[in-house]
Amino acid sequence: MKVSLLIVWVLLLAFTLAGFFIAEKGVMGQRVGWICILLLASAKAQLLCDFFMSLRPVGGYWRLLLGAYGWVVFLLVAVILYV
Amino acid sequence: MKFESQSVAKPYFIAAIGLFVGQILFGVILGLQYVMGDFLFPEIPFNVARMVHTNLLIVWLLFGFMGSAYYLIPEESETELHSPKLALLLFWVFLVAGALTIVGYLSVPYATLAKITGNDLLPTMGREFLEMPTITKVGVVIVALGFLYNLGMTFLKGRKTVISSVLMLGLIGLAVMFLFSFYNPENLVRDKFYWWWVVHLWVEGVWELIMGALLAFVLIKTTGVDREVIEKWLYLIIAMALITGIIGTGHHYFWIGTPEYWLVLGSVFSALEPVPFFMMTLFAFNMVNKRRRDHPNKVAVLWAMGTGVMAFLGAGVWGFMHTLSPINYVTHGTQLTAAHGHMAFYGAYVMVVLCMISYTMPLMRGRAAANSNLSQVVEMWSFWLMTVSMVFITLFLTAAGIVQSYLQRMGDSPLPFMVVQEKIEIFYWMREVAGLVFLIGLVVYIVSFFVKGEEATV
Amino acid sequence: MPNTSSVAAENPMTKLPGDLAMWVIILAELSVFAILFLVFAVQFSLNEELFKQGQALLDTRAGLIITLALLSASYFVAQAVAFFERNQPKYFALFLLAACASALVYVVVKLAEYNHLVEAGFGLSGNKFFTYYFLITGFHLLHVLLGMGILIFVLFKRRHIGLHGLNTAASYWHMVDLVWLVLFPILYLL
Repeated sequence: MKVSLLIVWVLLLAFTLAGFFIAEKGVMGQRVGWICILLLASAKAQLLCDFFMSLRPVGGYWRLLLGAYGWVVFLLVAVILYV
Repeated sequence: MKFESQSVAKPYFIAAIGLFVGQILFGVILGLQYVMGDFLFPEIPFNVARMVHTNLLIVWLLFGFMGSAYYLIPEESETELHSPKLALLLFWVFLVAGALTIVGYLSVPYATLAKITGNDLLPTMGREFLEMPTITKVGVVIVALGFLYNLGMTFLKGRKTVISSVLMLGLIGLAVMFLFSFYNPENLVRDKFYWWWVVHLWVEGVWELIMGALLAFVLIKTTGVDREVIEKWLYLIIAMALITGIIGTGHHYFWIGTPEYWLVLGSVFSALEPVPFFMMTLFAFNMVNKRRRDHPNKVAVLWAMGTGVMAFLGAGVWGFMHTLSPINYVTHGTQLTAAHGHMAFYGAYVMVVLCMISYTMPLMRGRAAANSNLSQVVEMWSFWLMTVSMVFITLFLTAAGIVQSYLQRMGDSPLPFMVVQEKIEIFYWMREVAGLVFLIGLVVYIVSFFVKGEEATV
Repeated sequence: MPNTSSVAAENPMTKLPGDLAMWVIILAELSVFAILFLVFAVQFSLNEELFKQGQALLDTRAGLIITLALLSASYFVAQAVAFFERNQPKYFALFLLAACASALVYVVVKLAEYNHLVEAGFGLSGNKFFTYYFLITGFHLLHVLLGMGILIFVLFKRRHIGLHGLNTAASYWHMVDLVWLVLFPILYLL
């Protein structure tokens, strides 16, 4: 059992529940809540890439390309919707 | 040439070039008919010249693919071709069938041709690019089956490489998709839906596999780069071609009466169709860059790199320009389509066949590796004449297409078709001049085969 | 002839877990989904009312369950690879099974969602929001099914498959999960 993976899993579940409650509480639609949700989602994507996909040891442009996927897509979506 | 039987490719290549000349002659006729509507009327009306031009293109490319396969498969499989006799028999069958079809187009009215060839028994005539009589189509299937059998037996007998496997897959796919030319639904929407299963899944599908395999073959032979490296590239290229191209068929389903979701599917997937072509360009340039030897056949390497670039520009870039549904709404069926079609076909398929011919012909004619320096230089001239003139053809038609789209389909008071055609006539004249230069380039290409001299060593 | 592998060893690409071809596929898939998300966002801004109405009809709780299921499946896969590396075949198989079970939760919930929506009269055609919804989530569903197939294949062939093959399969699965992590907020929560 790789403990680091277990820790990451717990983090991911926690972020998911946090995002869900922010959404359910009706802060959804409000900029702040919305940004929180996207930040949590981006962080989750990054964690997944770094630890589950083992991109952290690889480093370089693969880690950049894939780890940044969440951040970039969400940023672009935000720009499209709010600009 | 490692195996005697590879030489069956020669007649296929000669026929290919002969039909290519025919195609371009009719192309030049068509170009003139655009601006002088009754040129050669009624002997060769526009629609007949067009059938000859487009059908010859397809048939000569098929001859080119077949010749290439007959050369490549024995070499890759490291065994003689299963039956050179069969290959030669099928050559004549295909050539005669093709010739008779063209004669048919030119000598009798199309409706008469349909009647005398028994089209009402199994109607398959009357569709663009698939105008050939049903019996010709049946002939093509028979030739294809014999061809695949011959190569298949060779392939199974010998060593299986990624290159030969991809080529076989592409050729089998070509044959299977051609069967859809026999499927002619009553419903116009479905008719058009399945028509694209031949056309799109050929040129934006299985033909890309064929092209990739041929390109990989020439690159291995001329650069000496590790087979492993080249084959890995080939895998990735064809994976991308299939991933983007299959659902990318949807970019032909925007306006024919199919459900609205094709507007999304077609746009999104076809937007990525340039990727495999971009990879082929990188592939060619990278392999040449990393080469371990300086092969004496420099012009073959030029064709290989040129194919990558022109295919990416013509198929990839020009295709992308009008693949998104909001843009296609305005440009569909305009001269922009023609611009893309010409450069795409030339860049991807004409050039890869000429590349194979360039690499294999000297070997089949007894050279150790390449033609003389002079012969290669003449061939290089033909490369540049044809390629640059094609670029100009494309640019002129692009300009025509943009003006056409704007005047005929946009704004508050769109103009009628013929009024717009008159306004863009200047571009047609310019295109015709470029077309004549292309023809000159083709003549120079043929001349290069007859230029003698000492074989080039490096 | 010089050995290319010495050159390859310095190449960061060789540190990537699994086959390079899979990573190219991963990049391609992520690109397609990214385009779909961006097009969705554009359409959202052009049809705000319609899209907000459509979104309100989606079940965010189902989305939560799915997210938890897929994340867990990814965890199980990652852990399974670790067990394989440490030569613990029993745990490897167990965790791989757990991953498949988690993935199955996704499939069941997703199909239930579809069923509910179809019964309410929505489908691929007719409502722009739902065209995109069904296309994007449907496309993702296909990838999950393929991913499950790959995991089951690995489970059955575990004696023949090496670490390289296992990593290739695992990478594909993680990509599928990554896509969902981005899909869920955009489609359900915006």
